[in-house]
Amino acid sequence: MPLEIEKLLHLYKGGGRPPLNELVNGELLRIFQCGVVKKELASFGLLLPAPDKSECCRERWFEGKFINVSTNWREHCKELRDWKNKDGRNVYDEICEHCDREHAYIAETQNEPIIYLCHGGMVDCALPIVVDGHTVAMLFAGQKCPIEGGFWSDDFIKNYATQNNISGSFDAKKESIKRNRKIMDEMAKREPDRNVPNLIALADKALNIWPTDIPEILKEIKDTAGQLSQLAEKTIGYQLNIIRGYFTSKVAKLLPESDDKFWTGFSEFLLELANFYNRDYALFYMLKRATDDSMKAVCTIPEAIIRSRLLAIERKRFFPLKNADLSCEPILLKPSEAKDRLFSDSYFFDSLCYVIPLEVNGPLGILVMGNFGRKGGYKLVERELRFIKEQFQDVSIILENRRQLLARDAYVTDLSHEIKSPVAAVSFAARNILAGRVDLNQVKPTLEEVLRRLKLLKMNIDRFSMLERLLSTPESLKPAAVPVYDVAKECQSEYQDLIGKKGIKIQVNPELKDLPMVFTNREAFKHALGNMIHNAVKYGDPDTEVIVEGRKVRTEIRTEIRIDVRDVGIPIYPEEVKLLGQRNFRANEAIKRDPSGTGIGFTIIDRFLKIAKGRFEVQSIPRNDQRHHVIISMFLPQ
Amino acid sequence: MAKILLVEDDPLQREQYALFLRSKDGGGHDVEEAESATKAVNLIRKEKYDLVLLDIMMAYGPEDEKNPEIKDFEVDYGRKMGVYVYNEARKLSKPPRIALISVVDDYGVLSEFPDVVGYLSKYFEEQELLRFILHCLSR
Repeated sequence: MPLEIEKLLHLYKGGGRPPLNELVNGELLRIFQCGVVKKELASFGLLLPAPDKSECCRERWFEGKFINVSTNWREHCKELRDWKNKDGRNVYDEICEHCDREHAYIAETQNEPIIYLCHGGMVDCALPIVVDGHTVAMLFAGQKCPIEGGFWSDDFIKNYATQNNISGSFDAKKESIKRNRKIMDEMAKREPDRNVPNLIALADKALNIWPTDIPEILKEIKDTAGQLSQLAEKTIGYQLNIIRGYFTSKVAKLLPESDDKFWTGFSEFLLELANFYNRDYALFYMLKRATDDSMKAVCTIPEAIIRSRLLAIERKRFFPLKNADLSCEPILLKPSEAKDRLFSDSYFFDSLCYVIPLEVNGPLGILVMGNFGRKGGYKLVERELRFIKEQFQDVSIILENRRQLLARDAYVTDLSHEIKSPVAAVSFAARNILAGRVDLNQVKPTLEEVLRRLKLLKMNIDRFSMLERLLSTPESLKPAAVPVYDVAKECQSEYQDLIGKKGIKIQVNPELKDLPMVFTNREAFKHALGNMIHNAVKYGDPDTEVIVEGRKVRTEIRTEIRIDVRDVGIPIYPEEVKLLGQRNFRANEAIKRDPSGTGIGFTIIDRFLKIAKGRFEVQSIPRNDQRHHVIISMFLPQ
Repeated sequence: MAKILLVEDDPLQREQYALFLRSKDGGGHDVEEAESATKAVNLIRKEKYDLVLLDIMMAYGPEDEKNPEIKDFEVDYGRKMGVYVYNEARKLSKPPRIALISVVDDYGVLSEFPDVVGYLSKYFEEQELLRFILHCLSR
């Protein structure tokens, strides 16, 4: 792994949560020094949040590190904070800091600047600098002493906040003021010569400072925060893209590999991803598809699989994909370390499990990432979730490409099968007849079967050829007025011959005669309708009926001719409808039924309807016996 | 003359290959036919064959749909039936020789069937099939 990637992975460990502190500190200070600090009449402080600050254990104050560089502290504040008590502690400084942290916390919670009266009676502002939803720093500005040494009233502060577009105003907490007073009293008592500063001593020389233009300062600070935000956004975006690219390329490299190697590599990728996101496990369920044998699950500990199955049963809403098969065996990568905690923790999966549905041209699978038994622990923020989704969008595209690659292989195999098998059979039959190996009474049936095979062969070659025309030279398919009934009858007679021993009857409803003609290419239309009928025959149960019927439908936009082909057999689930146009999508089902499929029937229908400005709909209505009434409807403009 | 089980789902191909192999030109073998994986496995368990000629790309037959062993058996859809027959045959104490016939011109599939005695890609001529059978029987 390149060093740069390794560093980045380490830096972003935990997912997309940006390590903003490390990233922006340098820039923040630079901008801070060049910009707002130039203001001589106001003082500033900068508080950087602690990098390991987590939601579960935070206190009611802002954790982090103060950086008070080049600040124009008022003299009295500076002297007070430098003052040490007899034990050598900067007691006053500690209290000031505590007060700052408390108000920083309020500002962070509100996510807006606040103005407040500090424990020492000074007017301060706390301004959170928020980059991409994270508080990267807290700026303090102010240290405005009350006019004429007096304290500003609450009303004055509130009005000041309103006038200057500051969201909130707060007083220092009473206990802070109390502590402050106590220390000041102590200072006053212990420093009779008044050489050591305290608030009272300083009152004479430093308190009478008029407030400067706080709105101007605020504006400048906000501008700074904006610049910083842009910079951080850009840098983080760049770095995250590198990480995203790293993970994506890992999967992309596997694309041409065999199934075994692909899934082994994929499991390694998932393990690395889970580690990256600080997750105990990652599960990836791939939806059962035409060319994927089953869903794949990968996890870091076996209990994740067990629990996810229970979860699937308990909460079906998390697994909305009907075909999701949870029976696959996981690829275990690490022995269990969390067995004892399992099932005893009621928070298991509840707060820390992220279920992300993946889609590319339709549902593809589910990614589940989570931790075991960490109550109220680290939650992903919006950005991290977005990052995972983006990350997996890439991976989904790769998986979809692989699926298509495999589908293409299957297509080539099918094409080869469609041509070679009948040729081999016919060739052997011819030689057997010639050599007198076939009984005389068997010659006729053999020839009839040979003829059927050759018809099928012709039909399949015609299909491939039509698909090529639809894809590459659609302009060659000239439209004309086509009577639906005539075409349906032609399809009926052609396909009825090819059905063989399945015993399915094709019926064309005479009402089709009354339909207006459709304006389309007759040959392509016949192929599309023929494929609908052939599909119904392929997936239909033996000794049932395939019915072709139609009617005129008026929509808000236009009048359409609706042609339905009904069968009883293997269902088509709603999530599969979008995918029907892909080659070989139903091939896995076809192989169970009838070996004569080419896997391109729906591709032809889909392509034809796109060119003819039509559409298709699928209804699959369950019966009691796990079979479905399947109605595939083609809508064409009148 | 050998006892051969021909496992092929396509009836025309099965009949024509069997006719040839039974004929004098084809070696006059004792050929039994199985149109589905389930039937093939049942025959292999009962009878002793010198050679099982197995089509690895077979569709589900009606018997296969009722077979719980196949239902629980998860393999790549295309070769599922072939792998099932192969695995079941290998479980026998004295497994028969198994040779594969397939439309797929990919010898990589052999990795799934490590103990087969031969692999013949369709399309083939009579003499090719004859030589193939002899070769397999000699292994």
